Amino acid sequence: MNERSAAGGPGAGARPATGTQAGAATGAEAGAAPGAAPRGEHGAGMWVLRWVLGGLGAAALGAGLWLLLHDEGAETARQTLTWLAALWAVHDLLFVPLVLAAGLVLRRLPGRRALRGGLLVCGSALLVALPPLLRPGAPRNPTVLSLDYPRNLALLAAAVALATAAAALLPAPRRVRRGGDGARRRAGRAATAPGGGEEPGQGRAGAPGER
Amino acid sequence: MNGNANGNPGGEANAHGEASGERAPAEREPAAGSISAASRPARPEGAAPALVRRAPVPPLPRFRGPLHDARTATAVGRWLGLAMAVCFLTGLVSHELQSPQGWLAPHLPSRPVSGYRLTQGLHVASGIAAIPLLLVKLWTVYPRLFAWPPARSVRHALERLSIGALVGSALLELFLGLVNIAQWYPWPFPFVPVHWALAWVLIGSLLLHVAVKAPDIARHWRRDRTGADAQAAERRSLLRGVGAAVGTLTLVTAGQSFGPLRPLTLLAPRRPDGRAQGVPVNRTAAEAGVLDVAAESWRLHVAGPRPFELSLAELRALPQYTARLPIACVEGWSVSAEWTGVRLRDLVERAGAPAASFLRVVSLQRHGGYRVMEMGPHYASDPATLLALRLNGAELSPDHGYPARIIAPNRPGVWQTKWVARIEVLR
Repeated sequence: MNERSAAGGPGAGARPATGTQAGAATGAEAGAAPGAAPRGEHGAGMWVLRWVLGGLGAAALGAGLWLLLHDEGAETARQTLTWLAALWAVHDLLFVPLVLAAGLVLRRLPGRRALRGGLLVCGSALLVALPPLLRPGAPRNPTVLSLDYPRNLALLAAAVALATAAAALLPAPRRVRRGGDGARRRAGRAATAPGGGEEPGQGRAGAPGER
Repeated sequence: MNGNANGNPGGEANAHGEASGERAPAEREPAAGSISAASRPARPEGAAPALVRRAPVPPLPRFRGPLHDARTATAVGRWLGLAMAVCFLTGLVSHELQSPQGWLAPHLPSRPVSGYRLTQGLHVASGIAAIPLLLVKLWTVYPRLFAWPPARSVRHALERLSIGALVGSALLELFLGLVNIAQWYPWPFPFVPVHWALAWVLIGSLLLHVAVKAPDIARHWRRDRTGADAQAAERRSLLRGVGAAVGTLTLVTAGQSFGPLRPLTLLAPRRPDGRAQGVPVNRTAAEAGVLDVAAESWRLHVAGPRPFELSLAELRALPQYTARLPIACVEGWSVSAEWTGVRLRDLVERAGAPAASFLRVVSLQRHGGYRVMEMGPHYASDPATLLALRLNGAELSPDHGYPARIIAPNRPGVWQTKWVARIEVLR
């Protein structure tokens, strides 16, 4: 296990671990105004790319703020910022903490990876179904929101539950395939398929304990 | 480095689940998290003066999950970046076609026939696909929200501000789009100009973010092959889950514009079906206030060098053409249909003007926008552009614009003017 994953903490992967990485990380910090000379790890190309992207980005950001503040006026801008802040608060202070709490429970369950995948699919589908489900009032005409959304969401959830159960209970074929991938990546095609079966096994056993 | 002046008690209760009582040293890597300063330390007023110059570290959550790392952020972020790029570019196309601006207006092409159908279908599909990608990306970098101190320098503060603009505009932009396609408008501001302005804020702050993070992105673009990466299997499993979410959302919504997926359409706002002559409707005749068009008294007025009028019977007696053209709505749904009627270019030439003219088309509708439509020369002269009288083999229903409507290739649905009363050659 390398130093980064051993750290395991927030943003562990981004923590400068070596000299060159530390240098590059400083470069990243300088990125808001990437005026520093081209640095070691990435050459002049990277320096030019960052300047061009940063310039374009600042211009577009300025244009957007101008459109909002100048063209639409103070009242619209204020309302927009209010909605933006409210949505941010709902996401960062409510939604993500709930997801993290769910993750705490999830990690203790068997088949947690398949479960996480299933929850991701179901949760995304629920989010996309919320506007049709919650919209007040009747649709403008029968061709708008014409589907039976509660029924369809239940159908989808049932299908995802089946697929999740299958993925959790039938790990063998996947394990062989992943092993094959790992073996190919590791040994550069020298080892033919079955040898690499250990890697995902390690991942499965190792990952929960690691935290 | 901050002294831990708070004497941070161990085992603090914490809403974030993955927290522990240990105090992490202030993070040194550039913050990639989100806007707000982390919650302020709950200190009484007038804290000890000696501590003024060293901000105490408040009780911040600590995250030990293995996937809050730069490699995961890169792997999810590039798909999110792709979705946002597609969404932005197709949005530009839609904006220009919906409200033609300046020098481009006379050059808007009528081909490819399904151009707007494709770009707007992609716009909505990429926006929907971006929802799970954005949420997982923000979950991955969530610990950066609690970077301490909140700002190490002016530059760092600016970077975090731009991240705030990015996160906020991305959340609001996707929310506005998703709710709008369900024809629900709970916000007090006008949708189009705010969606348009936020798109520029979003793409600008995204480009800035990529510029800032370019070396990190480059470093984590490929899997770390130098050592055994114990996180790799975990990360692959997360990425498979995100891929499954994106794929599933696409399968159950894209059928509103992509015919072959129609049977799988479970959650889209529209599914073109047998109703309303097989073509969904936005503004009905009742909403537009044109329920009572009498075939006997209706006249089509064509204004040009040689102006003329036609009754419905006279229109039907002119050479009729049939074209298979899509109705493609800004809301993302679209459907192809068979339209029959008189070619617009024939009417324009009959009025003594060249086929490639600028036209103005006026509707009978009394309520709602888009009563007056203007059309550039490429649309007017296209042989597929019709003043349609029939749809899928039957006379137009009132909701589809009886007695006559415009149908042109490669145009947004709002400009397929219904209940046409007057056509003017402008130049």
